[in-house]
Amino acid sequence: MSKQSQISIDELVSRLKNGEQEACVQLYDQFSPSLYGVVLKIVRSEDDAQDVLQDAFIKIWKNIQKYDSKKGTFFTWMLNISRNTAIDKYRKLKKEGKVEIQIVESGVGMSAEHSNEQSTDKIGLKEEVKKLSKEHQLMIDYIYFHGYTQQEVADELKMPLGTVKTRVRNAVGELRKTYLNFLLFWI
Amino acid sequence: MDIKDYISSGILEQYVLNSASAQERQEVECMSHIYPEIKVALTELQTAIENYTEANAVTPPIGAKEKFLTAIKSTSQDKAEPGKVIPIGTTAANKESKEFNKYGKLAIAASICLLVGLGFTYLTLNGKVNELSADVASLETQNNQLNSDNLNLSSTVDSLSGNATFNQALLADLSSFDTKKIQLGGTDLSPESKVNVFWNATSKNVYMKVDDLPEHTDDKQYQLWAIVDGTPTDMGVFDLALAANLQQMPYVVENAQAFAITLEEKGGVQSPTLSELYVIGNV
Repeated sequence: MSKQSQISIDELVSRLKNGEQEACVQLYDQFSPSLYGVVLKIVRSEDDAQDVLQDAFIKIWKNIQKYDSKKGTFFTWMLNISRNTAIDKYRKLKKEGKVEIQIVESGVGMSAEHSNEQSTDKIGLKEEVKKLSKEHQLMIDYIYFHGYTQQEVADELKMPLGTVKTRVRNAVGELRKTYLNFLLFWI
Repeated sequence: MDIKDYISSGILEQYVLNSASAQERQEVECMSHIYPEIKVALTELQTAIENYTEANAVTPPIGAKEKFLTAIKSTSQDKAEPGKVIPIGTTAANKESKEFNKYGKLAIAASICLLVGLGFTYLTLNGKVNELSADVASLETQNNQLNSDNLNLSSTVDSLSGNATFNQALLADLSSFDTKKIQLGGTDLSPESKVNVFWNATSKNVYMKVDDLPEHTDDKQYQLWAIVDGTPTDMGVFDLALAANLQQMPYVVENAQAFAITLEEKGGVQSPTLSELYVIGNV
């Protein structure tokens, strides 16, 4: 994230902390695609995803005073709220037998076609992320988007725990490299 | 384990993927406060995750925005820390305990953080100390080895320089104008035999180099004689095996007219056995 947008995020946070409801427009416009993408990946149904997104945004608004910039970025904080809300929902649906437990190797392909408001730099990034191997995307999807523990992934995929651990580490490492490559490309 | 090992242990990846346990999370947060390198690595990984989700972005359906903005109007924000407000009329003691509550919590959190940091530093230092003492032990061994090598070398140098001194003296003696070379030729016993004797009449030293003498049994030894005024004088016995090199004989002689070699009992005899005369040469 560039310096400039960091400043505008700081400003957005302080406006939200001041209780300015108008700031929610910017909040929504700026972050809803990313958060919706995460939520959709977890609950996998557009209706459920919309409910989760709504809940997540309300939680963000209600709990904004608890956000502490020293503990991490605003984006990560919101991602965690959205992700946790979605995982709760997913588990509830699973319990009620309303979803099938399946994680497809979807990667970024599916979501790319859905979105229509991508800025140029995001498209560039998306291209870079697509280069991530399916194997690594799968690890991130299981753990990050579905809240599996490494042990659960090992059980599910019938792989040794050590292999899962290595793949998870490499996946994040690759993601980091991908992002650095992307930065170099745009500088 | 040092900071690099900690960073590459995989725990930061687990942290950013939200798969670390509560205890691990606390540890990572503490460590990233104490060590800037860990903080940097953690931030990089978090950014990577943020970007991954951005790359997965999907625009929500129209209508969701309005729904949210409407909901906000009837939703009030939670206070940062609900228990923080101190009611009017609180007693001093009560206030103190609330204060303690606030600062006490902070202090405990800070202490835990410090403990984690200290524990890590201890482990790191302990590892370092062990490594260092192993290094010291190995250096000591090396040092001892070097010292003994050094001793060996200096004794070698001593012996070489002794040799060099000896060789120089030898060379000076041999190349002296006073030194004579006497060629001892084979007798009927061994016509092919040849021995060179070098004799310096001034220093009186006698040197010898065997060119060819027959092998003998172990109970025998060759003995060199100098003939002084018709009388054989003992110049010492020698081992045939070593005699191919120039060697200095143990005795000196002043007035020699001839040199001869006989084969005698091992250890040598008082006077030569003439029937065992192998080589002879006049000065």
